[in-house]
Amino acid sequence: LRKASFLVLLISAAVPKALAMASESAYTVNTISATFSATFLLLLPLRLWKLRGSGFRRSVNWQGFTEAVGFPSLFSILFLKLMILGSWNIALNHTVVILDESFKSSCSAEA
Amino acid sequence: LLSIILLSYWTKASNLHAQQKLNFLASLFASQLAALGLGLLLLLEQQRSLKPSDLASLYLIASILCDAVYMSMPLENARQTSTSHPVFFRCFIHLALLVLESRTKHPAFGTVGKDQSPEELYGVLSRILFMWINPILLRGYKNVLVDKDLPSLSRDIKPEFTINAMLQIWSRRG
Repeated sequence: LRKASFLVLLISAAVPKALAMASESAYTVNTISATFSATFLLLLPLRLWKLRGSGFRRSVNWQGFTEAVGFPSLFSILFLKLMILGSWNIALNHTVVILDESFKSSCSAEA
Repeated sequence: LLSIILLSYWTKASNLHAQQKLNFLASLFASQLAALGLGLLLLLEQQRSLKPSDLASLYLIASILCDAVYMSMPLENARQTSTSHPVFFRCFIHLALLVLESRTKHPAFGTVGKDQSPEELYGVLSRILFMWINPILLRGYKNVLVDKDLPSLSRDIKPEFTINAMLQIWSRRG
Protein backbone atom coordinates (compact mmCIF):
# COMPACT_ATOMS: atom_id res chain seq x y z
CA LEU A 1 0.00 0.00 0.00
CA ARG A 2 2.83 2.36 0.87
CA LYS A 3 4.61 1.74 -2.44
CA ALA A 4 1.37 2.09 -4.42
CA SER A 5 0.51 5.32 -2.61
CA PHE A 6 3.97 6.69 -3.23
CA LEU A 7 3.63 5.79 -6.92
CA VAL A 8 0.25 7.54 -7.11
CA LEU A 9 1.77 10.61 -5.49
CA LEU A 10 4.67 10.61 -7.95
CA ILE A 11 2.35 10.21 -10.94
CA SER A 12 0.05 12.90 -9.58
CA ALA A 13 2.97 15.26 -9.29
CA ALA A 14 4.82 14.44 -12.50
CA VAL A 15 2.18 13.75 -15.14
CA PRO A 16 0.16 16.99 -14.93
CA LYS A 17 3.33 19.07 -14.88
CA ALA A 18 4.79 17.23 -17.87
CA LEU A 19 1.59 17.45 -19.88
CA ALA A 20 1.10 21.06 -18.90
CA MET A 21 4.06 21.86 -21.13
CA ALA A 22 2.03 20.74 -24.15
CA SER A 23 0.25 23.29 -26.31
CA GLU A 24 -3.30 22.58 -25.06
CA SER A 25 -2.13 22.74 -21.47
CA ALA A 26 -5.26 24.03 -19.72
CA TYR A 27 -7.34 21.45 -21.58
CA THR A 28 -4.91 18.70 -20.55
CA VAL A 29 -4.85 19.64 -16.89
CA ASN A 30 -8.65 19.87 -16.78
CA THR A 31 -8.85 16.43 -18.37
CA ILE A 32 -6.40 14.97 -15.86
CA SER A 33 -8.31 16.57 -13.00
CA ALA A 34 -11.56 15.11 -14.33
CA THR A 35 -9.85 11.70 -14.68
CA PHE A 36 -8.76 11.79 -11.04
CA SER A 37 -12.32 12.72 -10.00
CA ALA A 38 -13.75 9.88 -12.12
CA THR A 39 -11.24 7.39 -10.64
CA PHE A 40 -12.18 8.55 -7.16
CA LEU A 41 -15.88 8.11 -7.97
CA LEU A 42 -15.21 4.60 -9.28
CA LEU A 43 -13.31 3.58 -6.14
CA LEU A 44 -15.75 5.30 -3.79
CA PRO A 45 -18.49 2.59 -3.79
CA LEU A 46 -15.92 -0.07 -2.84
CA ARG A 47 -14.78 1.91 0.17
CA LEU A 48 -18.35 2.81 1.17
CA TRP A 49 -19.29 -0.87 0.96
CA LYS A 50 -16.35 -1.77 3.18
CA LEU A 51 -17.29 0.94 5.70
CA ARG A 52 -20.89 -0.25 5.68
CA GLY A 53 -19.72 -3.63 6.94
CA SER A 54 -17.50 -2.14 9.61
CA GLY A 55 -18.40 -3.22 13.14
CA PHE A 56 -17.19 0.04 14.62
CA ARG A 57 -19.77 2.76 15.24
CA ARG A 58 -19.35 6.19 16.71
CA SER A 59 -21.72 9.10 17.19
CA VAL A 60 -20.83 12.42 15.62
CA ASN A 61 -18.11 14.24 17.54
CA TRP A 62 -19.33 17.84 17.73
CA GLN A 63 -15.86 19.20 18.39
CA GLY A 64 -14.52 17.49 15.28
CA PHE A 65 -17.60 18.55 13.33
CA THR A 66 -17.11 22.17 14.37
CA GLU A 67 -13.45 21.99 13.35
CA ALA A 68 -14.26 20.33 10.03
CA VAL A 69 -16.96 22.86 9.16
CA GLY A 70 -15.58 25.89 10.97
CA PHE A 71 -12.05 25.98 9.61
CA PRO A 72 -12.94 25.65 5.90
CA SER A 73 -15.74 28.20 6.39
CA LEU A 74 -13.35 30.60 8.07
CA PHE A 75 -10.81 30.07 5.28
CA SER A 76 -13.56 30.65 2.71
CA ILE A 77 -14.66 33.88 4.34
CA LEU A 78 -11.07 35.10 4.53
CA PHE A 79 -10.51 34.04 0.93
CA LEU A 80 -13.61 35.93 -0.22
CA LYS A 81 -12.65 38.95 1.82
CA LEU A 82 -9.05 39.06 0.64
CA MET A 83 -9.21 37.80 -2.93
CA ILE A 84 -12.62 38.60 -4.33
CA LEU A 85 -13.49 41.84 -2.57
CA GLY A 86 -9.88 42.95 -3.03
CA SER A 87 -9.99 42.27 -6.77
CA TRP A 88 -13.39 44.03 -7.02
CA ASN A 89 -11.93 47.08 -5.30
CA ILE A 90 -8.97 47.06 -7.71
CA ALA A 91 -11.35 46.73 -10.68
CA LEU A 92 -13.50 49.56 -9.32
CA ASN A 93 -10.47 51.80 -8.83
CA HIS A 94 -9.31 50.96 -12.34
CA THR A 95 -12.74 51.89 -13.74
CA VAL A 96 -12.73 55.18 -11.83
CA VAL A 97 -9.26 56.02 -13.20
CA ILE A 98 -10.34 55.22 -16.78
CA LEU A 99 -13.51 57.32 -16.39
CA ASP A 100 -11.50 60.16 -14.93
CA GLU A 101 -9.00 60.06 -17.78
CA SER A 102 -11.73 59.93 -20.43
CA PHE A 103 -13.50 62.87 -18.73
CA LYS A 104 -10.27 64.88 -18.71
CA SER A 105 -9.54 64.07 -22.36
CA SER A 106 -13.09 65.04 -23.39
CA CYS A 107 -12.76 68.33 -21.47
CA SER A 108 -9.42 69.10 -23.14
CA ALA A 109 -10.90 68.24 -26.56
CA GLU A 110 -13.81 70.60 -25.96
CA ALA A 111 -11.43 73.35 -24.86
CA LEU B 1 -21.66 22.94 -0.76
CA LEU B 2 -20.07 26.37 -0.69
CA SER B 3 -17.52 25.19 -3.24
CA ILE B 4 -20.25 23.91 -5.57
CA ILE B 5 -22.29 27.11 -5.35
CA LEU B 6 -19.34 29.41 -5.93
CA LEU B 7 -17.87 27.33 -8.75
CA SER B 8 -21.23 27.25 -10.54
CA TYR B 9 -21.66 30.99 -10.09
CA TRP B 10 -18.19 31.76 -11.41
CA THR B 11 -18.60 29.49 -14.40
CA LYS B 12 -21.84 31.20 -15.35
CA ALA B 13 -20.34 34.62 -14.84
CA SER B 14 -17.08 33.93 -16.70
CA ASN B 15 -16.54 34.77 -20.37
CA LEU B 16 -14.83 31.68 -21.74
CA HIS B 17 -14.59 30.36 -25.29
CA ALA B 18 -17.12 27.64 -26.14
CA GLN B 19 -14.59 24.79 -26.31
CA GLN B 20 -12.79 25.90 -23.16
CA LYS B 21 -16.08 26.39 -21.33
CA LEU B 22 -17.23 22.89 -22.30
CA ASN B 23 -13.97 21.42 -21.11
CA PHE B 24 -14.05 23.41 -17.88
CA LEU B 25 -17.71 22.48 -17.29
CA ALA B 26 -16.93 18.76 -17.75
CA SER B 27 -14.08 19.02 -15.27
CA LEU B 28 -16.31 21.01 -12.93
CA PHE B 29 -19.13 18.46 -13.17
CA ALA B 30 -16.76 15.61 -12.30
CA SER B 31 -15.28 17.70 -9.49
CA GLN B 32 -18.72 18.48 -8.05
CA LEU B 33 -19.80 14.85 -8.14
CA ALA B 34 -16.52 13.93 -6.48
CA ALA B 35 -17.09 16.67 -3.87
CA LEU B 36 -20.46 15.16 -2.96
CA GLY B 37 -18.90 11.69 -2.77
CA LEU B 38 -16.04 13.08 -0.71
CA GLY B 39 -18.47 14.61 1.79
CA LEU B 40 -20.29 11.30 2.18
CA LEU B 41 -17.04 9.37 2.47
CA LEU B 42 -15.59 11.72 5.11
CA LEU B 43 -18.79 11.52 7.17
CA LEU B 44 -18.81 7.72 7.10
CA GLU B 45 -15.08 7.54 7.78
CA GLN B 46 -15.58 9.75 10.85
CA GLN B 47 -18.33 7.50 12.13
CA ARG B 48 -17.03 4.06 11.23
CA SER B 49 -13.27 4.15 10.98
CA LEU B 50 -10.44 4.70 13.43
CA LYS B 51 -7.94 5.99 10.88
CA PRO B 52 -7.96 8.83 8.34
CA SER B 53 -9.22 7.89 4.90
CA ASP B 54 -6.47 6.91 2.44
CA LEU B 55 -8.77 7.22 -0.57
CA ALA B 56 -9.88 10.74 0.40
CA SER B 57 -6.29 11.82 1.15
CA LEU B 58 -4.97 10.54 -2.19
CA TYR B 59 -7.83 12.16 -4.12
CA LEU B 60 -7.29 15.46 -2.30
CA ILE B 61 -3.53 15.39 -3.02
CA ALA B 62 -4.10 14.62 -6.71
CA SER B 63 -6.71 17.36 -7.00
CA ILE B 64 -4.52 19.92 -5.20
CA LEU B 65 -1.56 19.11 -7.47
CA CYS B 66 -3.71 19.45 -10.62
CA ASP B 67 -5.09 22.77 -9.42
CA ALA B 68 -1.63 23.99 -8.47
CA VAL B 69 -0.30 23.11 -11.95
CA TYR B 70 -3.32 24.80 -13.56
CA MET B 71 -2.75 27.96 -11.58
CA SER B 72 1.00 27.99 -12.21
CA MET B 73 0.62 27.97 -16.01
CA PRO B 74 1.30 31.18 -17.94
CA LEU B 75 -1.92 33.16 -18.30
CA GLU B 76 -1.50 34.06 -21.98
CA ASN B 77 -1.10 30.41 -23.01
CA ALA B 78 -3.82 28.94 -20.87
CA ARG B 79 -6.39 31.75 -21.06
CA GLN B 80 -7.56 30.65 -17.66
CA THR B 81 -7.79 34.07 -16.03
CA SER B 82 -11.55 33.81 -15.55
CA THR B 83 -11.29 30.32 -14.04
CA SER B 84 -8.27 30.89 -11.82
CA HIS B 85 -10.34 32.21 -8.89
CA PRO B 86 -12.66 29.20 -8.61
CA VAL B 87 -9.76 26.80 -9.08
CA PHE B 88 -7.79 28.61 -6.39
CA PHE B 89 -10.82 28.42 -4.12
CA ARG B 90 -11.23 24.69 -4.77
CA CYS B 91 -7.53 24.13 -4.13
CA PHE B 92 -7.76 26.06 -0.88
CA ILE B 93 -10.77 24.09 0.36
CA HIS B 94 -9.13 20.79 -0.60
CA LEU B 95 -5.94 21.79 1.20
CA ALA B 96 -7.90 22.63 4.37
CA LEU B 97 -9.74 19.29 4.14
CA LEU B 98 -6.46 17.42 3.60
CA VAL B 99 -4.89 19.02 6.67
CA LEU B 100 -7.94 18.16 8.77
CA GLU B 101 -8.22 14.63 7.40
CA SER B 102 -4.52 13.90 7.89
CA ARG B 103 -4.79 14.55 11.61
CA THR B 104 -4.97 11.43 13.67
CA LYS B 105 -8.36 10.57 15.12
CA HIS B 106 -7.43 8.26 17.96
CA PRO B 107 -7.19 10.90 20.78
CA ALA B 108 -10.88 11.62 20.15
CA PHE B 109 -11.77 7.96 20.64
CA GLY B 110 -10.62 7.71 24.25
CA THR B 111 -9.70 4.16 25.12
CA VAL B 112 -10.80 2.73 21.76
CA GLY B 113 -7.83 1.92 19.59
CA LYS B 114 -5.29 2.18 22.41
CA ASP B 115 -4.11 -1.38 21.79
CA GLN B 116 -3.50 -0.74 18.10
CA SER B 117 -0.23 0.28 16.55
CA PRO B 118 0.21 3.92 15.46
CA GLU B 119 0.89 2.70 11.91
CA GLU B 120 -2.63 1.30 11.79
CA LEU B 121 -4.21 4.47 13.15
CA TYR B 122 -2.47 7.10 11.03
CA GLY B 123 -3.28 8.04 7.44
CA VAL B 124 -1.38 7.39 4.24
CA LEU B 125 0.58 10.64 4.37
CA SER B 126 1.77 9.97 7.92
CA ARG B 127 2.80 6.46 6.96
CA ILE B 128 4.73 7.57 3.87
CA LEU B 129 6.50 10.41 5.68
CA PHE B 130 6.87 8.43 8.98
CA MET B 131 5.07 11.22 10.84
CA TRP B 132 3.44 8.68 13.15
CA ILE B 133 6.74 8.32 15.00
CA ASN B 134 6.91 12.05 15.91
CA PRO B 135 4.83 11.82 19.15
CA ILE B 136 7.09 9.01 20.42
CA LEU B 137 10.22 10.99 19.54
CA LEU B 138 8.77 14.07 21.25
CA ARG B 139 7.96 12.03 24.36
CA GLY B 140 11.49 10.64 24.29
CA TYR B 141 12.90 14.15 23.98
CA LYS B 142 10.97 15.37 27.01
CA ASN B 143 11.33 12.30 29.25
CA VAL B 144 13.14 9.01 29.36
CA LEU B 145 11.06 6.44 27.50
CA VAL B 146 9.84 3.52 29.57
CA ASP B 147 7.98 0.36 28.52
CA LYS B 148 4.52 1.85 28.83
CA ASP B 149 5.45 4.78 26.55
CA LEU B 150 6.15 2.46 23.65
CA PRO B 151 3.20 1.82 21.33
CA SER B 152 1.71 -1.54 20.45
CA LEU B 153 3.05 -3.50 17.52
CA SER B 154 1.00 -3.83 14.38
CA ARG B 155 -0.92 -7.08 13.93
CA ASP B 156 1.40 -8.64 11.33
CA ILE B 157 4.52 -8.34 13.49
CA LYS B 158 3.02 -9.33 16.85
CA PRO B 159 4.63 -12.43 18.45
CA GLU B 160 1.33 -14.37 18.34
CA PHE B 161 1.27 -13.98 14.57
CA THR B 162 4.98 -14.38 13.86
CA ILE B 163 5.37 -17.51 15.99
CA ASN B 164 2.60 -19.25 14.04
CA ALA B 165 4.16 -18.22 10.74
CA MET B 166 7.55 -19.44 11.93
CA LEU B 167 6.14 -22.77 13.12
CA GLN B 168 4.37 -23.31 9.79
CA ILE B 169 7.60 -22.72 7.87
CA TRP B 170 9.50 -24.94 10.31
CA SER B 171 7.01 -27.79 9.89
CA ARG B 172 7.22 -27.45 6.08
CA ARG B 173 10.99 -27.92 6.34
CA GLY B 174 10.57 -31.13 8.32
